[in-house]
Amino acid sequence: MRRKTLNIIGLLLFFLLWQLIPMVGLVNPDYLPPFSDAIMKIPTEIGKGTLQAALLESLLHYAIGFGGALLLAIPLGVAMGRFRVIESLLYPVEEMVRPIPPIAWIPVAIIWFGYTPWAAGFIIFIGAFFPTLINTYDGVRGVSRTDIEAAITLGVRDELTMIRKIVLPASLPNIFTGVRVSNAAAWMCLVAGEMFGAGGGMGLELTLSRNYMDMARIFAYMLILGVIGLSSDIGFRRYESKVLRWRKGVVA
Amino acid sequence: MSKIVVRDLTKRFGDLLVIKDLSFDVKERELLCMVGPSGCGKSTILRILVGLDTDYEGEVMIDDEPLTGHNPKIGLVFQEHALFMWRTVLGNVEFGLEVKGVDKKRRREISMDAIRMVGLEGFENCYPHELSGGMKQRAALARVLVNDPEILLMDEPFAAVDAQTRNILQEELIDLWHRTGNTILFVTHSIDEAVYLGDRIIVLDRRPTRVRATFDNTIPRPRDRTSAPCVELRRKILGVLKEIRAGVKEDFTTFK
Repeated sequence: MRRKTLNIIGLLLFFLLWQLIPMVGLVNPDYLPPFSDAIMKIPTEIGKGTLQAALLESLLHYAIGFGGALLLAIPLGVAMGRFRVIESLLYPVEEMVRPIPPIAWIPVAIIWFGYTPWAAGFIIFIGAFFPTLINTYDGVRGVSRTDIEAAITLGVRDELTMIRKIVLPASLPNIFTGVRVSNAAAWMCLVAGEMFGAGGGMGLELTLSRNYMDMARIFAYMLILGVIGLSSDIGFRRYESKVLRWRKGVVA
Repeated sequence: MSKIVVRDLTKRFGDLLVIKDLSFDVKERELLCMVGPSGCGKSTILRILVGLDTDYEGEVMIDDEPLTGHNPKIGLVFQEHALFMWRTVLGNVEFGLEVKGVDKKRRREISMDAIRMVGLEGFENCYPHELSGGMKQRAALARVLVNDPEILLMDEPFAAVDAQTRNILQEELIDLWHRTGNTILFVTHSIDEAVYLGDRIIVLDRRPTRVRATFDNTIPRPRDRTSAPCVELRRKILGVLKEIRAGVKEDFTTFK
């Protein structure tokens, strides 16, 4: 409880500082509008309907990119971790493609998909794919030999059962880590992609605000992005500690 | 009648000859203990018997049939419990039945019976990290028992628990064995344990492993660890192990 109170105090202090610095003239409020100006933009934006629309578009992009990434990265990570041939085939390709910043794919995405949700979704997919792939692969490779052998002596005969009942649950902590890193990457790519006009959304609103020279509006949208990022991470953590109850005490 | 027959078993790890022409039998319903110097391949023998290691020469027969992979008649209790950390005690115990496709209700019944049998009732919903070392071994035993194995292989199962708990677990194992009538091959490095548990005790030589000596243990049960016959048998086994060690020393001197 004490910790939570401090967390909230920390946030409030941050907002207070944000409010005071431009107010006392430490920086020009035209460049950094005070916290209150940014906050007041939010009801205005909701009134116009732009915020909801942008958020909905962004969520669609997120669903396409992040969902697609998980759907592909987890099975592929498992396959790479379990089968030497697949690992040897894919590892060099993966190692070469992964260092390319997802942002570099923006031109490709726009040409392939046009200014559609699929373009933004694709960039998010690129950003979210690798962290989950790598962590799943690591987790699967790290499944203890004893667990595998115990399962064999208890009657597991086929690879599918082995994956479902041993490999996946045993590597779930790593998969979760991957998913959380992917989530952060997804939001980063989402804004970047949208700022280039790949399908509208929150990022596009930021670009538009710049064109209007409306700094308060820029910070209002940034604030919302921060809140979304924070709450999604808290959500994942909560879910994780619920599902991974068995792990308490294992790490310590 | 022999439940397990091992003839001229030879096992190599690369160039290292671990087991050479090892032969022994385990009779039906017998509790056979195997002791030997560390690194003599005791665990390897169990791994071969349970089908985890198929790369060997020689003959292994279970109920007069040659061994091919894992035989469901055989259960193995690992050295370090090897419980699935992400499953509760019940989840662990149910595992074998789940894999076999036994329906949920039946699965629960059999598993709870096994959990009661090893004295873990009330802990079925605990995760392994919440259990003590002795309780983990009990859970591991229950997990093997639900598969109703005719042969139980135990690889130093009580090595990691404290001395008092070990004594209790040994007594419980004897009770359980009387009730279920399994054939048990029990590998241990504790001579005290071997003398307390075994109908027969096989002493293995150092690498390359062969049977060095066999002791019939007819001391009536329940056995008193401090009784004269127990002490005497322990002395004899210790004597053999000492000879084996002395042999190692000789080898080292000639090597120099």
